[in-house]
Amino acid sequence: MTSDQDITATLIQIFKEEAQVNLSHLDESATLSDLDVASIDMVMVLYRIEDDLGVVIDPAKNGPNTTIGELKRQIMLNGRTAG
Amino acid sequence: MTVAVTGIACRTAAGATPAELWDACLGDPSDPPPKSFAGTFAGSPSLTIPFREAPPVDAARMPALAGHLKRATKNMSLALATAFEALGPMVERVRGDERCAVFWGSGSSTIEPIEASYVQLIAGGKTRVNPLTVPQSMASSPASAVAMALGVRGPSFAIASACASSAHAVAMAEQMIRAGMIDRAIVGGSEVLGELGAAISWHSTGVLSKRGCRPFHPDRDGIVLGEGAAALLIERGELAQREGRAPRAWIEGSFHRTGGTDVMSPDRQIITELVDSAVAHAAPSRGMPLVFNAHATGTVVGDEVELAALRTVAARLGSPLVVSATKPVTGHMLSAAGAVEAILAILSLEAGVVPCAARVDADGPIEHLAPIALPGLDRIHSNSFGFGGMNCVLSFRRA
Repeated sequence: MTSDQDITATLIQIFKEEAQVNLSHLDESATLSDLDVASIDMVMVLYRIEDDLGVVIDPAKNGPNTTIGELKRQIMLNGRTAG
Repeated sequence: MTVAVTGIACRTAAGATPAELWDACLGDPSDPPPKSFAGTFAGSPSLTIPFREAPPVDAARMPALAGHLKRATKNMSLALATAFEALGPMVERVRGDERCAVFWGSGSSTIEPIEASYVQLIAGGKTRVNPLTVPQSMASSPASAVAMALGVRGPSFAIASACASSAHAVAMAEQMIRAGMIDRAIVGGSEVLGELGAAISWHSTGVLSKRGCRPFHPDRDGIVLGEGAAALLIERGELAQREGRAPRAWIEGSFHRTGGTDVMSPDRQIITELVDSAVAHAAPSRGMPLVFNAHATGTVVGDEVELAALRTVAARLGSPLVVSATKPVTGHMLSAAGAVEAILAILSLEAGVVPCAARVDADGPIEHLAPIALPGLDRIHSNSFGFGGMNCVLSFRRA
């Protein structure tokens, strides 16, 4: 199972590469709107999460008000479900 | 009211600027290099055809476009680069401008992302594809990329009329300016042929040349495809001049006819009537020949129909005829061809020279194309004929 630290590091990398958001640390209270992530970049972020972490995140359940913490929790939950 | 072209830019296999392309058109065209299109999966077929490939846009040299180029296909990148280059210092002027439009000729390049996704699905064993497939494969994707990057707020849309697409984009700008609906427009077209399936599709039509594009020549054997893009800034002439922008040329008119029953061959009667209407509106000055940048793709039937139409109209006018055919240099850039050739027509007016040209007798073949000096040349027409009977002639006057 992917560790909390691994998920954090991967998310930082994905947001940097796909959305040009530099997160020196992951502020889990920040929303996607706070980070100014464009819709097309967010689609790519979710695509990369599936590729890099093997977890499918439902785009319909995530919008501008989704926080990084919520995104991370979905990854951990779905990762566990996927076994 | 006058309509002026105040900015031009192009990126082609024969030159990355209008000046470079012009120089290439004044020389003898090189043989088109072969390009091999190969599938990315085991056992896929391949195809090698003569092809004029445009260099990709170097994002590092266009920092103003960096964010926009990141999600852009090569086709969209060429559109973005040429639009910015045609605008030059006007880039800031059009941001937020509700009276500025974007009209962009769109061909078959936008199928490229779909083809790549099919390869992922069928050969790559994937169950999903790049989520950019839809945003990048919309026929409007180059138009919207340009409009969003420029931040214009007037109308913007793609125009799809096959090989006449970007000529129709120029025409749309001219006519909407004359109608008072807009003050200016960024128009153009872009074409890329990046994937095996697209190349094989063209090859299967049977219209591609095996050796090189030789318009009007008795031994011509078809089209050489090319990649590239071109953009023009078209403005209400009085406004441009009041703001200190000198016209490169005036657009005197744009003319359209649809017709014929054959998808891949132009209709002689319709083409004759179309050319006739352009010439009736913008006839050559006394002592000047009738000058056309011909569509002239190098196909057996298409060139024959076009030349017959031009001869008929010239004879009726009692005027000598000069035709220019620049696709041996550029390749046929399909939806971008009309815009590229509009630029070459403008450069012809500025230089008093018609590139890749021949003086046309009443009959007899055209075997050689070369630059013809016509000092004082003040009018030129540019033909674009699309598959499916979509035809457009643009008429330019020297500024």
